[in-house]
Amino acid sequence: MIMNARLSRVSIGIALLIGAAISLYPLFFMLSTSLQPSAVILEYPPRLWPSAPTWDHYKEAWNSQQFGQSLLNSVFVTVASFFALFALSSMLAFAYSRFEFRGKRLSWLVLMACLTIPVMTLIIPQFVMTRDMGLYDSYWALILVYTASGIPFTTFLLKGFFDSISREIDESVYMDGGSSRLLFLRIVMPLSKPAFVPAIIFNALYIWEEFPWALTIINDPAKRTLPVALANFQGQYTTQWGVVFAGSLIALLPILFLFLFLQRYLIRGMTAGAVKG
Amino acid sequence: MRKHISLRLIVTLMLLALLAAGCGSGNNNNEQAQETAGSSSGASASAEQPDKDVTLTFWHHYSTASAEEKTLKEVLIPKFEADHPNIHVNAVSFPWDQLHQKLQIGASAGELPDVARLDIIWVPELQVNDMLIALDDKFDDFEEVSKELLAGPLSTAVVGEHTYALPLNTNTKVLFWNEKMLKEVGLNQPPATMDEFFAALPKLKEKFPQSWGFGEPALRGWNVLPWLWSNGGDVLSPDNTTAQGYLNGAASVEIATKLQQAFSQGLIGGFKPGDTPVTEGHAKDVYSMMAEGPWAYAQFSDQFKDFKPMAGSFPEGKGGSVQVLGGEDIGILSKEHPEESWEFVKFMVSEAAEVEMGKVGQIPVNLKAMENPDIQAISYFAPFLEQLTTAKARPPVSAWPQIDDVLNDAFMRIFLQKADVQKTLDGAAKQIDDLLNS
Amino acid sequence: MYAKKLRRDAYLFFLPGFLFVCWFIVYPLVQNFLYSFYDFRLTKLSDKTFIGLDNYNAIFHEKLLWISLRNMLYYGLLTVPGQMVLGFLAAYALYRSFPGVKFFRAVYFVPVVTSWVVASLVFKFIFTDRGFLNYLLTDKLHWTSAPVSWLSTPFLALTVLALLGIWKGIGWVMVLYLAALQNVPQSLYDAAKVDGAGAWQRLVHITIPSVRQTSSFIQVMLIIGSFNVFTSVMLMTGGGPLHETEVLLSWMYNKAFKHYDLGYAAALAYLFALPIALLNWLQMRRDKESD
Repeated sequence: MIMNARLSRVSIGIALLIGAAISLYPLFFMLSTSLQPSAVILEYPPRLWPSAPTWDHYKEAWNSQQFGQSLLNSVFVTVASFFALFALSSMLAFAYSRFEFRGKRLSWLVLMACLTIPVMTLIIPQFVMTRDMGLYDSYWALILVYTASGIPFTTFLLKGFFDSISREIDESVYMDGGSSRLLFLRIVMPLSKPAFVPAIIFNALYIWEEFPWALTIINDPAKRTLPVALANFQGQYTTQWGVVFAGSLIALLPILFLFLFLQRYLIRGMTAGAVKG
Repeated sequence: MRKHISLRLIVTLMLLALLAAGCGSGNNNNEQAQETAGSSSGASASAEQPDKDVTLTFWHHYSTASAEEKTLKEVLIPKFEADHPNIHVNAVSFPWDQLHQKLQIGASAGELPDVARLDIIWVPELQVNDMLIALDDKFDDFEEVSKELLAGPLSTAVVGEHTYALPLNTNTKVLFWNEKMLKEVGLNQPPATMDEFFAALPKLKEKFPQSWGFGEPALRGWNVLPWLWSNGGDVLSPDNTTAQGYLNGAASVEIATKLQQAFSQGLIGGFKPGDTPVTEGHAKDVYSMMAEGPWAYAQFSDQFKDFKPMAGSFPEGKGGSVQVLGGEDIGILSKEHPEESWEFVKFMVSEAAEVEMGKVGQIPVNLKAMENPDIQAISYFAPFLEQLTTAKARPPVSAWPQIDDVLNDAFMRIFLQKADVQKTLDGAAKQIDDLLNS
Repeated sequence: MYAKKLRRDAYLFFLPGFLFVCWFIVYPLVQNFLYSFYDFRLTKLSDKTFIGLDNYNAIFHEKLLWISLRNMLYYGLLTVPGQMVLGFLAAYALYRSFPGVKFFRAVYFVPVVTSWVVASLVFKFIFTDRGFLNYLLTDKLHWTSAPVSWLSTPFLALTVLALLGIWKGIGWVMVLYLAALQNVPQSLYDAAKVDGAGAWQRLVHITIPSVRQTSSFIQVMLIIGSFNVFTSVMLMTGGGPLHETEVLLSWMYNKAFKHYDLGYAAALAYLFALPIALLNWLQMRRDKESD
């Protein structure tokens, strides 16, 4: 009986380790390729780890085509879009959670329908629209569209959480003469902090790595975001894989750090509201 | 509590920052609009140099971080700006297909560059959309400038009666052969004729079963045309009106069938998704031979320093040794700054600029540059110059990019699905004719 | 008066976000629907010609329609159960605390945080004919006699794409199940143990039913996600060879940005959007009923 338990625990442990290896292998592969001198990259049999690692690719990736600028652009666009969408989503979620109003059901259906649409199908009309607004090749075009794209999911996430906060609090606030604004800002939002974490992670991830829209609407290399900058490493006749992977790893770091920093709160934030829907 | 008041504050501040950024880019547009008004009135008053500062946008597709791009940014543009203190050049690099797309939609998006480096096959379609300025028409000194350039490449910029660009660099492909591998099957020289070529392939496979005798990176016009032409076939009729009898003519079918057999025996490869990239593979003995342009040398010296490339003429078939003419032209799309753009274009095709670019693998089209000792000293240009004497340009029809797709599909089917060659090419010829007539 | 104030508040909170979404999402959606009835080219945006149902007609006569449907079905059938089962197993192994559990949870989530672009490029590299996987299979393990052309054999290429999708999604599913599993009352398990139920029975009769709602939510999201597959297809196979691995979004993208046929692309979007929306609506209805 005890033997069985230990055996199963060991085998689970091994399975977990294999899973971890599979999860991490591609990143490890990227790392090792990015450190290999070009001549060795396409070698067969493939080498697991470079014998003469070099930082050249990293230097080249960083120094070319304003990579640092692209990094800043990505950070700026992600942060700006996130704040905007978070503000709008939290207010929207509060409305759905706490109020009754005309068109509530219908608008909710519309919002949830937005979740099911492949975002890419909107690129063309959004392109035409932003161009007509004079926003072609501007940060605005990125921020406005990213903000709108994030609202349905974030609203859904936050509403679930808000719903789990007892209505009795509402009543006491109103009876004490408080306003909805007070209820929202001082009570409901602070109580919902765990939900902020998945909101941050999923939105930040989506915006950070978004590619088709950024590619379509931005021309000026000074305004490019990281995914577009990375795609530009593919040359006309050849691709410098070492540089591509080095750049990719650099691009991965901020979002990875964000995640590692927040991950302990992630599970707490997914509890209750988020999933019951 | 405090946290959320400041959260609100942060949101407001961010929105204000955005507003500022948005206004900033808006202001740039306003400034340029004012400049435009100023300089265009200046230009109409007199053909002299405008006294306001002008910034030209130059779109190109020199690969990021390549030697060409470095030369452009660190040598050429500074020199031009020093010579023309009131003109600044803002050079933007795009990958090849992105540049094409940006130019195509740029007109409707309202954002086109002043000057652009164009693949020679884009000139007809841009001209048809009225995007390029007819240089011979607009500029008085066009005659004397174009006289200094090679006639063949210059012709790639001619559509109908006018010339819509100037050639910037020319190129073609030559046969690269792996000396070591060929020696091991008893060949001291690369195959000179098609027969020798097809005879060498099985020998190479026998000796090197893990490699391919020849690598072709794709199956577009750029790749298949040399095979067709060298065997006496073609895609279109000489007047470019039909593919019937040409793409599906006897000569084309013959060579396509030979290649199909070679592929099914594992003798050639490189174009399926998942194949080792050809140029890199050539340096690593994966492909004994390949046909590539001068940029391969730059790549070898950059990434595979120990590899010694050998190049020679493309094997001669029934139609000769005919490779495909490539190259880039430089054209003016500017509505606001045509004069300054012309200055830049003239500079880029001048002897000095052509020599600098020649040093990093861009074969010059400027006659004086070709005589320049620095260029003469570049030994690896020799086989290219030889091949250029017989190279043919792709048909200058505006539907060429779509025709390219048809060719790609047809040949993919022939190789990967072992489709009947005659039938497939018949179908492709019909599709091409539909495109030509639409 | 109180009610009026509340109603005004309601609109104050509701309108900004909703109008914003309407402006940048709903309005483009409607626009796209209209475009689908026109011959609308990216190179001449001001020139639209009304052609009625021609675009839709053309789509139905395209072989590519059936190919992409087949591909998306295959992809979905592999990735949705794949991610759900593996994600659930990972969560089940990791929802209780033990030394190192935080490490595993973090590691399994790393693929989720890796961008599609990066992940596609790496997988492409690993699965090339002379890449690492073939090296293992052919030279080391001798499971195959010749290198497998993963990316140019349509069936295999789709499988590789699905593997990428599964690899990338397990962590996300795991996190959702972690939260759900932690909410299953311990009392249920205790009662079952008292009744003599073994580990397997507890899993099947208590755990899985208890997280039913989560499962249903995950399923909907994964199905939506599988219809959205794009970046991996574009970067790994380009839809090829010969369009055998095309999916809706790659087809649509090529139509819009290579052939500049925006009307056709819009029609494609709607043709596929309807079944997706229907599927999801049915799914949500089914959940509501079983509640």
